[in-house]
Amino acid sequence: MLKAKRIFALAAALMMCGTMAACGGGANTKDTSGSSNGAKTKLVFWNGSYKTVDDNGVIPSEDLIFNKTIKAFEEANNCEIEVVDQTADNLYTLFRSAGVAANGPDIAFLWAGGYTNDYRDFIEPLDSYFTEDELSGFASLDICRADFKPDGALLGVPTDVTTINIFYNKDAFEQAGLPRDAQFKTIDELKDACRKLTDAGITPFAIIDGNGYASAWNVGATCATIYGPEGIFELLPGKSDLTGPKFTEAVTRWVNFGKEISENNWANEDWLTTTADDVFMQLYTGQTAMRFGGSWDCGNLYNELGDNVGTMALPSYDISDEYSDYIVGQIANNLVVTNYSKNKDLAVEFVKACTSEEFFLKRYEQEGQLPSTVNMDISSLENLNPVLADCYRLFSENKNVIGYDSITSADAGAESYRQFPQMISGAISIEEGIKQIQEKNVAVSTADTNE
Amino acid sequence: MAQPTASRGRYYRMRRRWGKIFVAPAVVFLLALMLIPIVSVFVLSLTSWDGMSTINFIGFDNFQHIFHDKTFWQVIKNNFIFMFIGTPVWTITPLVVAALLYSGIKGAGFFRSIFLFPTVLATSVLGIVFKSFFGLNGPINAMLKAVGLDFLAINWLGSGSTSIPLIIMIMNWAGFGSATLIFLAGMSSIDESIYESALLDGAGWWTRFFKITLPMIFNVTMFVIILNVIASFTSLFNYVFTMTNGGPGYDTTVMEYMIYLKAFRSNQFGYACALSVILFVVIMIISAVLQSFNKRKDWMD
Repeated sequence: MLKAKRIFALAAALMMCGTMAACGGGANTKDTSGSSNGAKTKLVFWNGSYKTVDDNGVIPSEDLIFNKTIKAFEEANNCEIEVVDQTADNLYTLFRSAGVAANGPDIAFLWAGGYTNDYRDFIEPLDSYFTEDELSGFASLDICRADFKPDGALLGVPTDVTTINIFYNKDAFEQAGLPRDAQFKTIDELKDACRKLTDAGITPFAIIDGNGYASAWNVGATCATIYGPEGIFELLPGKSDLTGPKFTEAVTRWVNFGKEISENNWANEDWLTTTADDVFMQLYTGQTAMRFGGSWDCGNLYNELGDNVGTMALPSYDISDEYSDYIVGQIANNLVVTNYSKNKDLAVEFVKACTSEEFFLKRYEQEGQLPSTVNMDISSLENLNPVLADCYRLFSENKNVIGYDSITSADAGAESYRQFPQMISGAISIEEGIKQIQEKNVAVSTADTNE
Repeated sequence: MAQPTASRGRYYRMRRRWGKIFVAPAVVFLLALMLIPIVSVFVLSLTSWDGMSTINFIGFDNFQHIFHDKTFWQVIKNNFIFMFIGTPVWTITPLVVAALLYSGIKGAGFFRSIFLFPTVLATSVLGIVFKSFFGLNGPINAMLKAVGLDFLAINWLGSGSTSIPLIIMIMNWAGFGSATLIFLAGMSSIDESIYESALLDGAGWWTRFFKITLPMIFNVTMFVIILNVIASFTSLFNYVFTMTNGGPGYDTTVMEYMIYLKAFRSNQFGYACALSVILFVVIMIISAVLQSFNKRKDWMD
């Protein structure tokens, strides 16, 4: 009896050890080669955006461009591509952990700019895999390079771009005596429109700025006109001081306009603190006329408002600015190949397949994502969202500047999201707020030497 | 007689040996998953590690920077506000409810179950639900307006002065059931004859509560207070994350949330570890002070 107990207890202890051992190993991405024993080569793809299932159920999964590309690539290269969908919240933490362990994806979908730069220790430089001709179609490629420098290593290949816009309800505009195809070039025109809308009993804006994003888009737009496409890199950590006149001017312009919005009730009462997007319901019903947003909003807006939605670039605060007709338009995401991948060449080939012109066009049509190459002929596409087409037209004018928060450190960007609404509400002065942002604009790896 | 003694000795030696063998996996498990990470946090707090590249030791620079950072002082102040307002609320509410239930009110069993219900809900879910309830155009404000209390229909999450008390109340609603059970367990250990004697002497409900119940469950009360103090430093993340994102500004940012922001949003792991060490020390000091008030040594039992 005692012996049986001992054997049972020993077995239980061994099982526990076995369980611990099992927990430590067996990650699903461990084997990325697989070809040594004659099996198909396996590539692991961490997906952060591509549709593998149509949420609306309109397009069969096998017809989605990403799935079709995978299938064709697998057949042509006798390989297998494992797609692992990752949410944005998890992706970066997991990518870091995988990189430290050198045991993760072969290809990953990352936000371009600061995020990709932050993780470059795990990213394969791609310059040698691409010809100049292959890269020539991409606009503003510096955002995908190390330190954003034209001669920096190419860390990722762009997948899509975004623009920052004002979207408006055409019926509401018409009701206030404004043109249905309005394009305000200056802030004064926009303010004038706000007054007319108010007089017509329509709230000019629906804004959510509890997360600071609307403020960031507006400051980004003013930075674009002040700094221009090259000068914006002055905002890199360790370069110019953000408390200097240029950035202060950009922030002051938006903060003052924000104060006018609050004082004149040109937006929902809680716009500086709310993050609830139910405020946009009033835009759909015409009680509110405009909202700030980006090209990623086009799909939802067109679904809700149809041809009744219009878009324009954010107007300039001062037309004497050197870059007054420039907008915030930038590569949003890029595909990277990990430097610990055992199949880098094949991974790069798949990246090329996912950044071909045919792929871009089909994805534009199916997913509403703007291609990262400019001036493509989109006229042949069916069921094209006209708002999205307007965004692409804006981007294709090639007067794009990267958003300031893709240039500064992540910490400084996050700090600005907190401080801008505080500046508008008067809880903190512009000077004090910018000072706090500047204190955070330090490259992480140099924090110890600069602080 | 010698034979049985030797046999017993061998038996106990064997028991000890097997005991060590069986305990070994658990010890390894604890070392690997608890002790090593805790020690690592202390070590990493002295580095500028970004979670990826090589680890550079920078001495106490992180701590120096933290103590010079105005944001840190605001954040720690927020934690103390939660502690000083939250702890009494989170302690007194379940104490009163437990006393009422213990006094044998009608339907005590039913209420005991109902009060425990919120504790089974995920705190992040509660945060999201209450955020929509207390939105400027949410149902609570709509209700207040409907009954003519327009002046109370405010932007609840629009400033720290309203959102911190709101979070405290939500935490109270969500957690008082389990604290009530702890108090009830303490009350049920009081000898009934004491109450009977008090009744014979003509003591009323309040007298019995203040003169008998409260002193007799002093140790349990201290235990709940310490749990609540610790909760005011370590259980706020989900509510802050889902309801306010620490804003507006840093009005509702607490240490846990700041550690998360530094580690996972800014890749400043060394800095985040230093914040964790400070949080650990603060909680340890407060707990030690509270324990020193507790004269009785047996309450943990």
